[in-house]
Amino acid sequence: MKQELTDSKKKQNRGFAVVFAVLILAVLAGAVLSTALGSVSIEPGRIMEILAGGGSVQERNILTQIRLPRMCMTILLGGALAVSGYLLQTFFGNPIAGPYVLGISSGAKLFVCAVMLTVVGKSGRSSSAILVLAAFAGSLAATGLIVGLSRYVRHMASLLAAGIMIGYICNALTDFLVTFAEDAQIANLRGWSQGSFSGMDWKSVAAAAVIVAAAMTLTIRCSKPIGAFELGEAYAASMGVNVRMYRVVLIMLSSLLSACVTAFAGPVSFVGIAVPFLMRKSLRSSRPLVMVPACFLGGAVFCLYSDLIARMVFAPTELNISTVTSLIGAPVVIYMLAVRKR
Amino acid sequence: MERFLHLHGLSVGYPTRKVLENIELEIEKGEILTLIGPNGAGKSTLLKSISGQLPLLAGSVMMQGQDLAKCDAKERARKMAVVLTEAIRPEYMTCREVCAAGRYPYTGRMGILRREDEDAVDRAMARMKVEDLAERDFGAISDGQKQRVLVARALAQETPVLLMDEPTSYLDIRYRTELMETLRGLAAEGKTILMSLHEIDLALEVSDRLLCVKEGGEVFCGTPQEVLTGERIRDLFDMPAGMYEKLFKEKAGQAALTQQDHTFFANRSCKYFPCHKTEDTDNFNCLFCYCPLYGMGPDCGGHFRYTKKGVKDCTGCLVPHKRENYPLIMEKLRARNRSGQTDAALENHGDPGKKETPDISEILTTVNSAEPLADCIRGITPPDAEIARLVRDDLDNLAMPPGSLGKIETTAVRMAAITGRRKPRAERRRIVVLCADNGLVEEGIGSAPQEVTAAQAVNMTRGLTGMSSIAGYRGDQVQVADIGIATDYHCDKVLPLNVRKGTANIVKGPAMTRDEAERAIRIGIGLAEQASRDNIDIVGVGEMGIGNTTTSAAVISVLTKRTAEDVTGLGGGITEDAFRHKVECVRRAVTVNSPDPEDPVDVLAKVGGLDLAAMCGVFLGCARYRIPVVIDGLISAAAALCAVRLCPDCRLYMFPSHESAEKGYRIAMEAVGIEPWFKLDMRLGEGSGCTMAFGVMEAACAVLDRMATFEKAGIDDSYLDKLRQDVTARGEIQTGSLHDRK
Repeated sequence: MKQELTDSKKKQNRGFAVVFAVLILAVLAGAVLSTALGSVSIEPGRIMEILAGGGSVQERNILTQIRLPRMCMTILLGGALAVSGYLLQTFFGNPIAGPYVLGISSGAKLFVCAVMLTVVGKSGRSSSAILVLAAFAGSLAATGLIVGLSRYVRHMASLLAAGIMIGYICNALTDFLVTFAEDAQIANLRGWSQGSFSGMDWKSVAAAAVIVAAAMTLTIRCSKPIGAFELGEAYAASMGVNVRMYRVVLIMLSSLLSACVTAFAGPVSFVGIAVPFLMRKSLRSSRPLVMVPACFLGGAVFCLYSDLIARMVFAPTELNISTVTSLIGAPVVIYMLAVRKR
Repeated sequence: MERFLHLHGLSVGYPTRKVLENIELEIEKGEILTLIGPNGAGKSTLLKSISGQLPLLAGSVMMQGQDLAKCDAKERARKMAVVLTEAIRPEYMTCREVCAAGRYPYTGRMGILRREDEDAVDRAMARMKVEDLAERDFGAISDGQKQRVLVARALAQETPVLLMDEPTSYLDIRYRTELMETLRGLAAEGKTILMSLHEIDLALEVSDRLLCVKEGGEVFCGTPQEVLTGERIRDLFDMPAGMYEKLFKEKAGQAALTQQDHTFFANRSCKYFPCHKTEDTDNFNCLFCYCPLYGMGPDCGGHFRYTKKGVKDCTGCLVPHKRENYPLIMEKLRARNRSGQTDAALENHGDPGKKETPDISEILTTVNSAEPLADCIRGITPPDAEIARLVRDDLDNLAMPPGSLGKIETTAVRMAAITGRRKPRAERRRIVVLCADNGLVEEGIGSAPQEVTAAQAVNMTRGLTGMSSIAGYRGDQVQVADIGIATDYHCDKVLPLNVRKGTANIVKGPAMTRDEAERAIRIGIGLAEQASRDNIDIVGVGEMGIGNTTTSAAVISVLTKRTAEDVTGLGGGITEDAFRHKVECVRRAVTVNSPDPEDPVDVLAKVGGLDLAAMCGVFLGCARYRIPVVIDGLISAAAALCAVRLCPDCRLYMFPSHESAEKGYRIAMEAVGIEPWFKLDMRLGEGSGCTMAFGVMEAACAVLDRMATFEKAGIDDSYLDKLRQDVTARGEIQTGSLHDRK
């Protein structure tokens, strides 16, 4: 019995090791590829050389000012998005929960739209900092609304529905604004609202890194109550989880993560749903201590390759990131729903 | 008093709809309480409210005096585990991981399982027999298996309280039964279990109590018997005519049968169950070992019925033996004693004390006669040595190795010598119980309030006490005499021989005057005379009197010149402090009164009691009227010692019974010079040991009366001659102390 137990544990641990090794290799490969490939392709072997001071100034600028920050940002935001999705799914006990579904992204979009039409439209200047702040404010406003509702709504499923409704309201308001806006004013909005990892600078990377690192640390620290949530709220409460507090903590964490993504890259769909699902499948476990890092890496991989596809397939035309993630992610979700009925 | 789990004024439900209101319930540790009731009655709501899932609308859930609402989540999780009806769908969790989740309140910050956590999980899984499922995915097992795993999870939480909502709903009949057995085992280990069940028969079987929850908020809590016999199930579920009868009539009948063994003191919900094992004398009182309300019929507050062997089916008692019920019991008792009601139920069966309306005129004649006590005593002569010799020869001719019946033989010889019959009889046996109160109860040494003396005296005439129920069973007569009961009572079967209403406090002065003591002794002699007139073959001497172990200790201490510590026993199981107090009382009584050890009457009058004096009289009287008399326990032994000191020949009429657990007993009996026959760890008093001794004496008579001789059996006994001589010689030595006068 005991022997058997340790055996199966060993087997499980071996499985974990394999998955993590694959993920890390994929991240490294993706990182190298997305640095090397582009309108000006740089041989992977030369990357270190250029960074060390070799190569032309143009090459070095492309590398340091465009590709490297973009690559870093993709890893950070992709990971953040996946973890955010994982948290929401655990929290709602529903595998299709995600920042996009819950209206968090829509909230951000509404705010960005409003800002573009008022501040930016009047001054005629489009500042990315303002957009980022607006997106952030929008995400947090939507999240705040949901958290506020959670006081009155006892059940997670109803809360999920409430989130979806908030998403609809935000989208309707956005449409309303767009209807009465001039085309020029909303050109930027259209670009932003499809999501893109392009145009990242080191400043943004640093800001995102700080937010993501802080949120991730907190998430890992909360892995024990998150695990308890797996058995549902009632059981979690009976085991001593301060459900009301962790509800707020979890939703704040996940919206912080997704707000960060939405602010810097626009709403990116499906990563938050598809990646945790794929990770669960391959790890065959839902232990938060394993799932959180795996989701982070998985999200990074998913986004790195989606971004590569977006950039490369129709180059020099760059596709929106959501176009790619949706095309890859949606079938995954459909598959998931079909297979779920065991 | 602080109960284990206390639902106090609980109102549960939802903000818009109250489901159950004002529930008041005390739950004992190790109790299984099952909620039954129709769908939608609020069972789950109540469980959820107790577990804290639903906020209480009013009231509180107290656990060992602590309000659970004020506990933090983790603390609460260590007190209470739950099994819910809600299905859970964790993804990719093995059954073992689900169970391990129960360790949440114990693990550290990151939830890593320690060795002890793993062990707890193993234990829980083994208990629910789900070890085989350990590595299976929780989502891939059957609902029944899930349910067992979830119970295992709750067990892994290792809480003193377990709350389960419909834990059997998916289980097949085997696992259902197994779960119930497991629960019983857990309860025996002290786990308190609250659950709801739909299977009424399971609930009736497994639960200590059932909580019937009905729509509209009616709640009834009772034992399975009460629930069954009250036909509550029919009302609870609004069963159409005929359905209840079809389903439960038979069960109800069985329940009534099993109730035969259900006595007041087998009340599992009693804090002191099982009785007599408590050291907590502050909260426990011997009063309840003689429930004074037994005789009250329906007025005691509960339900029971009389049988020849006493009270049966005592259920729903409003006054279980708890300290806080004292005032109520006492009030009821006084009310009854005043009104002197006789209840019809009692008249329906013949009890031993009922036969004759006692006639005390002849006793009073003896008592009031001019004959000085000393003359009475002088009239006592030793048993007939000639008969003793003849009977010993008879015994030797019986078809057995000489002396092989041991003490039965010596008993037979002595009984013959006492009664002057070669074939003594033991057909009419009587236990004379002398009841009196002692003033020293005001020192607080008594194990029960003074009223109990009167109550028990009355109960003894009804065959309801420990001794009288045994006597009633055996067919021994019980004669109860009031020699000095302090409180008022009404019962015309107790002989009204009251000398005074309780003695004075011996710690402060003499118990009574010498005249009163002599009068009590004369009454005792009168009772023996009456026994002689009634052709009684054997008399046993019993007593009832709160505080009389202390007076007995004082008497023994003076007469044997031992210290108070030597002779004072624990009495009715009192604490160390109370014991020291008792020793102190004995010592002070002796110092204050300084009785003359050479004058037993003086000792009885100063530090004794009316019961002791009268018992001493019975011993003297039995010797005078040549009736074998049996010494019971400590008090009886003290009285016997007085009698022997007054008249040494008395000893030859006395027979021992059991060895009392009281310390003073052995010292007194050594001084009397008689060894007890049995050791039964009895210390009830009343004369309960006498009934046992009667059995031995009946056996002795039966041997002389019925056993075949060698002649009759056609056995040549010459081979035994040598042996016979040896044994006879040895027998003289062994029983010398009792035969030296022959």
